[in-house]
This record gives sequence, C-alpha cells and structure tokens, in this order.
Amino acid sequence: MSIKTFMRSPGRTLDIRDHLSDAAREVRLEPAGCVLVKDRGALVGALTPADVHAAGPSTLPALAVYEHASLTERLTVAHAVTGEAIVVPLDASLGDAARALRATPQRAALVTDGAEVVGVLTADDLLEAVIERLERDGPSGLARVLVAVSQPASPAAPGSRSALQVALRIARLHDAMLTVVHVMPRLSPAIAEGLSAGIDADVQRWRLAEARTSLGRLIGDVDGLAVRTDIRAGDVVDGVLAAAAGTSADLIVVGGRPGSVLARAVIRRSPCPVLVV
Amino acid sequence: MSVRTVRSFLEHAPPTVDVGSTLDEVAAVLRRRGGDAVAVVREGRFVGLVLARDLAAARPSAATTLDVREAVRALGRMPVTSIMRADVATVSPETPLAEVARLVRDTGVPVAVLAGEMLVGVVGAGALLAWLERAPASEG
Repeated sequence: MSIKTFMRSPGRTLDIRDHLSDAAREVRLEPAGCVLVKDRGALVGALTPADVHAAGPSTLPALAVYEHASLTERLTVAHAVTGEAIVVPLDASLGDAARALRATPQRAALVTDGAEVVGVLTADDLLEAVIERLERDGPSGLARVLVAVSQPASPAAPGSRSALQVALRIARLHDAMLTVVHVMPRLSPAIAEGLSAGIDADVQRWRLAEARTSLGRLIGDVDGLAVRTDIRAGDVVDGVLAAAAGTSADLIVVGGRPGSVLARAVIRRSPCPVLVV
Repeated sequence: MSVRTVRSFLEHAPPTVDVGSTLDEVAAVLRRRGGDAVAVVREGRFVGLVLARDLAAARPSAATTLDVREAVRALGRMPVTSIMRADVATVSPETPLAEVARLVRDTGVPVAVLAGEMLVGVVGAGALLAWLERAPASEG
C-alpha cells in the first residue's frame, strides 16, 4: 500500500484573499475533501471543511452576536491558513504521511513528485488505509448483523427482546459485529446530532441518556461479543435503513409480525436480507 | 480468531470532564492530553463527547468585536453541553478495530468504547493515524 493508492487528485484552488464564505461553499463541494490555496500564484496550503469552519464565526449564538456581518464579510481564506503547507513526497510511507499530518493542526497535505504537486491527502484518506490494513485480518461471510429494537425503556417489549436474542445468537455463531439500533421518533434530530436545541434540550438529552442506559441493560452482558449501540431520531424505517447502510450490514433482524408496517417497509427497501422474528 | 479488537488498542483511561463543566475545563484537558475529543460523564456514566474541532469552531473568529482576553473568557465560561454531541456511536471493547475505524470514517466523529455502562476509551482519527504511524511497513 502506498500513498498513491489513497491520495486524491487536487481539485479547486482558491486565492488566499478570497472570501471565507466562498471558501466554505467551495470546500464542501470538493470531492477531494480539501481545496488548495495559492498566494500570488504559489501554493501555500490545503484547507478542509473543518479548517474553514474553525476560522468562521463562532457556532455559539451567545458569542456570534459579537461578530457583525460587516466584519465577518471581511474574513478571508488567509484566516483559515494556520501554518506552512504540509508536503509529503509521493514515495513516502503511509506512516510518514500520518506522522506529518498528526504533527500539525492542519488536516490536509500536498503530495509532491519532485517539484510538482500530484495529489492531496487528508486524515480521511489515511483512515481508508487504516481500515484496509485492519480488514485484511477481518472475518469473512456474515460479518455485520443489525437488529432494530423498540422501546428500550419499557420492559414490555417482547418482540424487541426476542429479536435481540436471535440477533445475539446469530452474531455469536458467526463471530459477527452486532449493531443494536433504536430509533426515537419524538427525539429532536438536533439533539441526536449533538446540537443544543432550545429550552427543552436538557430534557431531550436526558431522554437520550436514559435510552442509552436502558439499551445497555437490555443487551446485558455480551461476553466477548462485538456490540455497538446506535440511537437515532426521526422516522423508524428510515433510521433502521440508514443504520444498516452506515454499518454495511449483511443481515437486518427486526421484531414483529412479518406483515407489520415496519417489517414490510424494511424488507422492501433493505439492501440486505431481513429476518423478521 | 486473531482479529484485533478495540480493547487491545486502548492504552490510557480516556480524558473526561463532568457534564457540569465549562469549556475552559475541556480546553485544559485537551491541552494536557491531546486527542480529538473529551468524553463527558454524569456520575461516571457516559453522556457525550466534546470534539476538539467543535471547540475550535465555537471560538470567536477574527471578526469579533471582543478583545482577545474577553473572547477567551466568554468561550471558557460556556457550559460543556453547549457544544457536546450526545448521539455518538458507542461500541463494546470486543469490537474489531477495523469496525471502529469504519465508524470513525463514516460518522466523522470519534467512537466511545463502553464496557457495560463504564467508559473505557474514546477512539478517533488521531489515535488511528498514530496506529498507522507505528504499524510496521511490512504489514502494508
């Protein structure tokens, strides 16, 4: 595995004097995960969305009130450039690239072949290398099982409990990773995404924490099994399918009658086999 | 099976702050311990994460009318819950490290490792890149 495998072609280039708000838009659209920055024609760095976000107005309304629009309009790309560009030679090892990126607060490096910039490399690209290296040892076959559990706070959810028991048995049998997903339709999506959301934010956070604890109790002692819990806000079917897609599930286990709305909707839209318990 | 689990990856107790803390305390822990995130706990129970990049994004920009000292003080006084992420992925210690790395990549957020209700680790991109840095080249 070499840097060439994981680097991306350089995309958009911005001038250091460009408006930061324009940079925010450009960097979000950039498939390479970063934009290049030039100063008087010379490359001076690469910026990721996080770099641009950090240089912009405070995300906290209580602090953003001190940043008037007339002043934020004057923020430029230069405010997001925090140091010298990180340069990694094309023939460097992935470990060297990781070291270079970890040594500075910057999140993207320029890959050079001689004097020419031939690619860009972000922390996300190096994570791909980590995953590839680790997955060589990984299990094959049924590796990821997802089970949808309803009402973890209630002891009276026999459907969920038996689905969970079946999923635990399957996961143990195949030495698979089990994801236990619980969707809370009445939970604010803003809370699920970790943002503060008005005066009921604490109540919502408490509900989320309680659900996580109850889910932990329901799962019990998993004794050597790889289990991940995933609590989501919003529509139940969408949540279950998004969780399945996110974990690349090989099998979804749901509780309830086969003809139930949930089971039918999941079966119709699932990218993998569905077991209704 | 010789699959590397996240348990084998955890070296130190994760950095934590109490849910009643301020961002000043989070910044101090991040300065002392480094890393991508600080875990937030209530009576020892995990309730969420504060990411270093969210703290950076909360910091007033160069466009603020506050002077440097006022800006630092105002940010430091904010409660930890103002930028805490409550819904982060949690995994058991036996989870293969590859799965954890996939979660970190897919969600863009560090993963909390819980043994029952007890927090035993936080794994983010920084720690995984550090592993790549140490992994022998022959493994690649």
